[in-house]
Formats: sequence, structure tokens, C-alpha cells
Amino acid sequence: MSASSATRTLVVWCPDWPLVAHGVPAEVPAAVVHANRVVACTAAARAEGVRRGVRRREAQSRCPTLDVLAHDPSLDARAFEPVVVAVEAFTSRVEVTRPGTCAVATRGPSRYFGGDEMLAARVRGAVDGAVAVLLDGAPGVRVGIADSPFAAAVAARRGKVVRPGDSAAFLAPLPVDLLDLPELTDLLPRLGLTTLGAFAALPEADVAARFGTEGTRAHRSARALDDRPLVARVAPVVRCAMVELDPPVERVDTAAFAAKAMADGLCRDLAEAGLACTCIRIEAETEHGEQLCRVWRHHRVFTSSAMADRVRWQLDGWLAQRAVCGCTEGPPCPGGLACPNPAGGTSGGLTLLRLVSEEIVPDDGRQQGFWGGTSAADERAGRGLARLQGLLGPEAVVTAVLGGGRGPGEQVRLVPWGDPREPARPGPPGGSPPRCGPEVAGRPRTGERRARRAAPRTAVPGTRVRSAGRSPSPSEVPVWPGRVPPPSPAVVHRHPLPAEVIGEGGQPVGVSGRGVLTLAPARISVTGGPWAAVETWAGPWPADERWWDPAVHRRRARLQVVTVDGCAHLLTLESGRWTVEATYD
Amino acid sequence: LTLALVAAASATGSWSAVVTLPDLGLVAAAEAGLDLARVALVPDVASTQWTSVVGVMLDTMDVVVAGPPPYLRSGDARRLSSRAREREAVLVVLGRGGRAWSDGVDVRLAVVGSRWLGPDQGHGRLEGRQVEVLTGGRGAAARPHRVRVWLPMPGGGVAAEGCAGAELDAGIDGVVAGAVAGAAG
Repeated sequence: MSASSATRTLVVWCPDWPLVAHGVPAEVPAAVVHANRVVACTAAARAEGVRRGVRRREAQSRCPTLDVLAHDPSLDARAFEPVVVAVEAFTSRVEVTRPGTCAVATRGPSRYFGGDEMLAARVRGAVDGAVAVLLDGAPGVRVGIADSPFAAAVAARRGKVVRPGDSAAFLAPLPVDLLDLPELTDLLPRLGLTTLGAFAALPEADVAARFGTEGTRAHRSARALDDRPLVARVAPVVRCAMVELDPPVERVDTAAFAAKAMADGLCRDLAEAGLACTCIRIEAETEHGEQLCRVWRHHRVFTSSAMADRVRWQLDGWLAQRAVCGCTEGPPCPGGLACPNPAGGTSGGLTLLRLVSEEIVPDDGRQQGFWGGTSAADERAGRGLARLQGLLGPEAVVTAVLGGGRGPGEQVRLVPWGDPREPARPGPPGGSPPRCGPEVAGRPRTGERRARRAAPRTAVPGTRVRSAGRSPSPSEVPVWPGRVPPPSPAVVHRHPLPAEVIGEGGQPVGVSGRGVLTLAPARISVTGGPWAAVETWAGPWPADERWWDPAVHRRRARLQVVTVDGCAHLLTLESGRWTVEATYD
Repeated sequence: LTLALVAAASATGSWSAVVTLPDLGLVAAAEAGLDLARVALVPDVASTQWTSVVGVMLDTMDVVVAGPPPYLRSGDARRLSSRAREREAVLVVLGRGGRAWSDGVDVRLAVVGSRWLGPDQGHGRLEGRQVEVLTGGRGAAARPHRVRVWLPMPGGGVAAEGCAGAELDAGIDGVVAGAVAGAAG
């Protein structure tokens, strides 16, 4: 980056990306909220007066129909990947500035695709196509081209292609707020510099003396020069090593000898680039034109000897069997378990051997923690889970986090492996006994009132903090009175099973408005099954949750029932219907 | 019973995986002593992928708990068992496991009777349970045993009743030595 260098840049900007990633079209009023502040909102919400940075309650009061979504940076990044791939079709060096915005240098692609206008139109078309998969409305992707990354980002907001050399003039009438440096943009207008042009007109040395490094970078931005180099993401590399065998090799040991040298070379190549390989594809051709391939994976990274071993084992299989593999016609066999004829062999000697590194990871060494830290088992488990995610999709492999809640199912939040582990609701760590469980409350005489008092003291709109008249500090965890006490049930039904509960005379059992059973339960039947006599029972424990919000308000009563055959169930009565919420197995 | 088995391993920092058990009560797991940060869950697996998922997990995890397999050839079952033995991992399969597991299982545990203590006619709450566990299998575990266990104890935890404790420990050790257990309950 020299003193007056400028990289002509194309910036793709997808407005309101966090909402697009959630699949919310622009016509639905919705906002993504993080730490109680609006991070992004749709055009419909903006029309109602919702802005970035306002509090959630403020936003909800401006637009009562607002959909509030949780901020999930990893979802944003995952959803943006198809867009990056679409842009990568034009040029290989794409910088992902943040999810929703990416930048490429236009010098080569612009000439190839017939000028900036054509390139911008093509990129917009490709990205529109990639975004349309996520969203059924109009995505409204904008593309801008200008002489520097900053000018291009500004141009992208306006969907403009600025002609070469005009960028400084394009920026000059715009307000300094665009620099996105609050300290600087607060000060500059007070010095009488309200536009980028006025700021750019200052001598560089004076700016450096007064505002330091940050100021110099902002000054370069305002003059449409590079403030920083584009950091392109490293495109996945595939490296391969190949050896032709002449005369054709019939014996395993001869081929393995050639493979050893090849594996050494491949590993050295990768090591020079600071990379290592976790998955290789072995391909071979025979003198009769057959193509064989197989994928091998290592739970750590391949060393050259491990790689050579795999090749030898594979050649052993191929050369020993002498059967015809079905992988000869059509495109190259996908290999591994996907090979249509896994028991293939060769009908002649090998003429060509190729090793392709399928999966390359940065080689971060293998230093393990001395005390604590990540152990070998942790690393191994992480790799296994990553592999399963590749097999089944990122959402299929989850870990659980315990949070607050009353029912056994409400306390658990499942987080995809690799995402940050945060509970859905604050609460005491799992397993600790509740300070004020139902057993303390005893048989509630006035269930309604008690349950209301049992409302959690979290920072939810409409909650009144009754204990001391102050809002709970972040370190204070709500106690969730009315929690189902431990031991917790070992089976929590994902979809509660319908059940029937009847008394001695055969009448259905209910719970009165005062929170007591209308009659003692005598028999239960789960999902229409046979009747089982009730031996003992405990409860009911009414819970009137979120009564301040009609949309999520739930009134329930829970009952523990032990039948004569030794099964224990947690039954729930909600709007007149009994269900088995969980089973103590 | 399964949770108690896994918890013993998890307490020493082992990783465990739970495959195709979407209904598992995770709060109960935490109460049994599992470290949920070291438990990976794969709730939904297509029946054709069951073997490969369990295989991958056996390669990388110490304890794998799997729901009843859809349909398994006995060859696949044998292969998984030997993979577990080679990696010194433990595979716990719930349910009968089909005919495929009928001979290859090292330790078989079954709950034959259980009695809950705590609630009365509308008073109290569930506190503890006494279960009777029938063990069987092959090798050292071939002799069938009947053990009475508190599962859980009132106040949490697991305890064997009377002098049966030693035998229960032996049974669990046998499982950890690289076995496949078919447990019901």
C-alpha cells in the first residue's frame, strides 16, 4: 500500500442481512435484537420508526406488531456462504468484510466481463439468485464500484458505479458520519468540517499530528485512497501429486515404493504452505484404461508415512482382487462409501497413481495442554463432530445448555456444535436444588395468586420486580420458583403424549380455579392405551406463566403420578387436556 | 440406568455421544453427573446412516449411547463391537437391539422391577427409586446377578443396597472395559 495507491473495488451489500439470514422478507416488520438493542430491522419496521440502536421496548412501542428475533452471528455467517460462493464465480479473491458485505478488487474481472457496469450487473444477478434461495421476497442486493474500498462501500449503499477518478468528487459532498468513527465524526462537525470533502482537503501531515493513526486512515478513506489492503479469504486449495508408472506396475511393493516418494512430496508441499491434510483421495489408472479411486480420512492430520500406508493398503486391495471395478465409466467416482462398486479391483498393471488432498486444514501443530486445557480427547471429539456435521448438516449435531425454566423440557436449549453455548433463559445451573420448589409451597390454596407471584424476575417487558423494588443485576439469577423438583425425568417427550385421567367413579379429573384437583385420580391411560391404576400421586402444581403477554401466556398444572406397575409420569393439564410431559424412567 | 452408567465415565472428563434419543431428559442427565459440555447429541439420524454415525462416534468418543437401531445385520453389529474394543470405547445400545446383538453383547443389563418413594395421596413429591437390575452377558459377566439399586437416591446420586455394591462396580467396570451393553430402561 503506497502513499497514493487506490485499489478499484467492487462491494456487494445485502441490506439487513441478519433478517435475510433468518428468512424474513422486507415486507414483514421484524428486528434482530442483541443485548436489548436493535441490531437490524426490515424496511417495513423502519417505516414504522424502528431504527438501529433503539431499545427493544422502544422499538416494540413504535411498531407493536414487530417480530423480535435473537441475534445469531454464526447463522449470519453460515447463510452468507452461498453469496460468497456466487461472487467467487467471478474472481477468486473475495474479502468478506462482515456477513452481508463482501468486496473484490475489480481490475482483472472488470476487463474480462466487459467493463464495470457489466460486471456490477452480472454480480448483482448472481447474488440475487443466491439470496433468493433464502427468501421469497425481493432481496434488494446492491452493488457498487469505486476507486477505494471505502468509496465502493458508500457507492454500494447507493447502488452506484463511480467512474475511475471521480471517487473523491463522489465522496466530497457526503457527511463525515459515513466514516463510522464516533469519536472523530463527533468532533469534525464542531471544527466546521461537515463533509468528507472538507475533511479531505486538510493537509495529511496536519491530520496525522492532530488525530493520529486512526485519523490518518479516515483521511485516506475520505480522499478515496486505500485505508487498508483488501484481505481476501483463502480459497480452498486442492493439491495433488502424480506419478506415471512405466512399465505398468503389477506388484504392490513396487507401487508402494513410488507412492512413498509421492506422499513425501505432497506432505512437504503442504507443510511449506503451513497446511496439513486430513483427507486424501487415491486415484489409479490401469493399462486397460480403468480408473480407480478411493477416499481415506485420518482422524488427525496425515503424516507422509500414514499417507503412504493408506496407499499401500489400497493398492493391496486393488491389485490382489483382479476384479473389474464399476467406476470406469462416467465422471470420476466420488470414492469412499459413495463408490458404486467398493469391492473393485484391476484387470492389469497400474500406469498412473495420483494422490489428491481432499480436505486441507491449517497445520496448527499438535501441542497438547500440560495441565487442563484442551486434551487429546477434546480435539479428537471435536474432529469427529465436525466430520458428522459434514455428513448430516451443521444443525444435526448439537450440545445442550441448561438454563432457567419450570418444566424439564424448558430448561434445555440445543445449540449446534461449534456455536457459543448460551442458555435460552437465565437460571440456576442445572442440578442445583430449587430454593423454593413446589414442596415448599405445599398445596397451594390460591393457586392463581401464588402462580402469579411465581412469575420469573427476568428483564422481560411488563415484569414487575416485587422483591426489593430494584431491577435485577446481571449477576443475579432468577430462582424460577415453581420448578419441578429433582430428580428430573429421564425421558422428556418431544411431543407430549395425550393422556386421560379419571377418578374412582370414572369421571375425568380436573383442576379447579383455586389450584386443587376436583377429585383424586384413580386410573390413567396414555395415548389411548390400557388403563393403569394410580398408586400414589403428588400435586397439582399450577403455573401461570407470562400472564402479561397474551401471545405466549400459558396456564398449566403439573401432577406426578406413580402407577401400580412402577411407572412414574409427569402429567400436565392445559386448557382441559391432560398430556404426559415426561416419564421418570 | 443408562445415565448412571455414562455419568461415571463423564465425571473423569470423558466425552460421550448420544445418538437417536430425542426424548432423553437432559436435566436428569446433568443431575446424574454428566458434564453437558462434553456430551454431543445427534437426535435425528436416518435409519440408513445409523451404522456410519455410530461408527464415527466410536472412533472419536469414549462412550456412545445409541437408541434402538432400525435394522442391523449381525455383521455390522460385530464390526461395531470390534471397533469399540479396538478404540477402547464403550457402546451402550438401548432396547433389545434386535437379533443382531444377541450373541455379541458383553454385558446385558435390564431393569426388572422398580418402586418409587415419595409421593402419597396428593402429598410430597417423587424422591427416590429402588430398582432391581438383572445383569447377564458373557465372559466374566455370564453368571446372572440380581442387584437392588437406589436410582436415584433421595437427595441425588446412585447407591447399591447392602453388600451388592461390589458386584455392581464389577459390572460397570466390565462395561468400561470395552463392551456392548443392551440395557432396557
